[in-house]
Amino acid sequence: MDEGAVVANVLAFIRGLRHLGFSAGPDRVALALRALRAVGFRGWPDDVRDALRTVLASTRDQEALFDTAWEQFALLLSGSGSHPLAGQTLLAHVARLRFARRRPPQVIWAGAASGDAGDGKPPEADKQVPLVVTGGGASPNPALRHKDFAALTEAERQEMERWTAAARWPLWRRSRRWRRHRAGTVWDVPATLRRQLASGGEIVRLERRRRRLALRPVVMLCDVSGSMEPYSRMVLRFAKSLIRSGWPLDVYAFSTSLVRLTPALRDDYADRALEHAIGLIPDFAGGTRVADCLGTFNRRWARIALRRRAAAVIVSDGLDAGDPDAAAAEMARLARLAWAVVWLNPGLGRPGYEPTARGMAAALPYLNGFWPAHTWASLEEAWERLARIDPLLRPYASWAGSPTG
Amino acid sequence: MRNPFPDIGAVERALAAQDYVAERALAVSVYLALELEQPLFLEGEAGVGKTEIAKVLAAALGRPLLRLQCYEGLDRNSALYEWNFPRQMMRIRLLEAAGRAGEEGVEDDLFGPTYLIRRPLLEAIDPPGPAPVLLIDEVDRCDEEFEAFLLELLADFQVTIPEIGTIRAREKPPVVLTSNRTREVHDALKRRCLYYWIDYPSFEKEYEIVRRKVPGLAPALAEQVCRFVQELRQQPLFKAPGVAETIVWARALQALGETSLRPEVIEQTIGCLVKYRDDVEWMRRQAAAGGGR
Repeated sequence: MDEGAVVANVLAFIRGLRHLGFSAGPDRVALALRALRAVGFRGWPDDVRDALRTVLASTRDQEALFDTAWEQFALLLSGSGSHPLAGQTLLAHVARLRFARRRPPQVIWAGAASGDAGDGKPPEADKQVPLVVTGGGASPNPALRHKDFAALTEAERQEMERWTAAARWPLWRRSRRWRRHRAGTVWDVPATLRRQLASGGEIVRLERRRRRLALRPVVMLCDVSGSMEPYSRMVLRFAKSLIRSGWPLDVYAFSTSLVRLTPALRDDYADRALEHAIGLIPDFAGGTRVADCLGTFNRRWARIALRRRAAAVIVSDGLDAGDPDAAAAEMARLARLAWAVVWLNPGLGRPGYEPTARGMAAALPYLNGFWPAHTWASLEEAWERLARIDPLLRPYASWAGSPTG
Repeated sequence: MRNPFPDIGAVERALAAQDYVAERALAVSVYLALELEQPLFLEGEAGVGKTEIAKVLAAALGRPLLRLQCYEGLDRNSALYEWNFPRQMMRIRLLEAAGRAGEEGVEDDLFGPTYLIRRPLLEAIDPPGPAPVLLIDEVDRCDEEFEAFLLELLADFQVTIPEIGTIRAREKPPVVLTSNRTREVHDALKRRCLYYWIDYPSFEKEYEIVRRKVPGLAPALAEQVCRFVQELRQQPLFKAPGVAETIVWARALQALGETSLRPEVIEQTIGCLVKYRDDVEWMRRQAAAGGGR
């Protein structure tokens, strides 16, 4: 076999892989060629593929992508034809496959026209649009902070979409790591003895240590069904600003199905991030199936998302067509997995609201907090209350389903 | 370490001799890890035999296995080395009592090998005998700080202890890292390793595994067991059973002297397979509905 030709082919293949998002640096390429030599061509035909894959892929998804690309490559080599052209075809084809894997589901807009923010044109219905002067861009108008999202005019909404929530209250948890601290409760023997060396063998002071503090991860499950329409957009906006200020926040949207939005929301451009995130939701402003979505979350994501004693925050009005018993079972499971579970309900902002919706009543016993979320200020307040919550306390644990207020 | 296996087939045979039934692709990865002296990064669901591969490899190579179990808060002191401060302290006091504390060479002695507590990573770099197989288990559980430290260590297999000097591995030990993917391990660490995703085995492989691991089990029952488990993995369970669970279940059935899978027996032994109460409840409902066998 002509070794030069083989090497050339493999190099061409690796170049193709780079287009598919593989980070194959020179060290990896060298290793791939060494692997090729080690495996040789006398063994099984698939050995060469397996060898290159174990060197070049670094996730399960990449393994699958690699196999597809390899098949295409093999087809290409066994066929005849102009190589540069065929090479382009190969890449184009694999790239298309990749695109199909990544493409977000189509957006179905079932909501009101007011959802279509961003084009800068207020709907005709709002005749009395107030003139809003946005000087620095991000100085929250105190009146707006307390205005119900549902009552916002289009212009106000647009102004608020520029806000970045300065959530000042860090959510701490104790890390498993130690640091030296004067007021620590645990005697740090090694540190004391090291100090002793410095002072000529005398113990001058007992060094202490305590657990380091780390940021507590928060998982937010945001209801984006039709009944939540005026609120969900602003809640996502709020979540985006929290992510931007560096909080470990993991965001999911649910209505009839559950979607993880965090990767989309990491985009630095807030508007693009939000549009991308909303585009990922298959049925923005559709119906709700709380139990199904919580079930999906519990099975698929919870073990990953709720590690390190994360708090779970559900933002929903609790209007659910599903089976309340199933919702209660999933809530129970979620409550076992999370450090604390908090429910933010825009309905609580309305005077005289009672959590009588069946889905809501089923969830109440498992909650550590049940707070309003109808204004920007209430979201900020909820975030601050979350930092001071007692995870052992469930104020509605004895809730029997009858509204008592 | 020099790779003792001449080709991939030899790796396959060596694994099989230890009753480890591996896909050919896994044998390729193991072979390359030894041949190219690269760490092997294994990912997969719990109970598919990630840890087992390190044990089997150590046995096949005739080398000891060193295991470092990762957890949040794991640091250099418990992974690499630590000075035995209490013992040093006692030594100083004894020397003082004997009036010899000021003598030459006391510090050299105090910061010598006697007072060094060697943790798994140092042991792997500087073993008393031949290089062991180093298993770094459940890397996804440690925190980012430790991951960065691992990165440094896996790159050149040397550590610097200020009081002693730099210790370099005489031969690079084979390294196996495993992850359950409770979080995504940093790319930089993965890129320094060969990667392999261990999937649940096919029916044929699983049957072979059960036959090897539980030789006393009737072939017909082994087949039923594997079919049941394979079917179960398709269901919406909180945690699907791994191969480890299959083996335990097969052993349980054998211990009970069963010859075929009866619904009552499944009911009694289901704790071997599914470990969440919700999953057990789900299976009971399915059984009651006559759907899930």
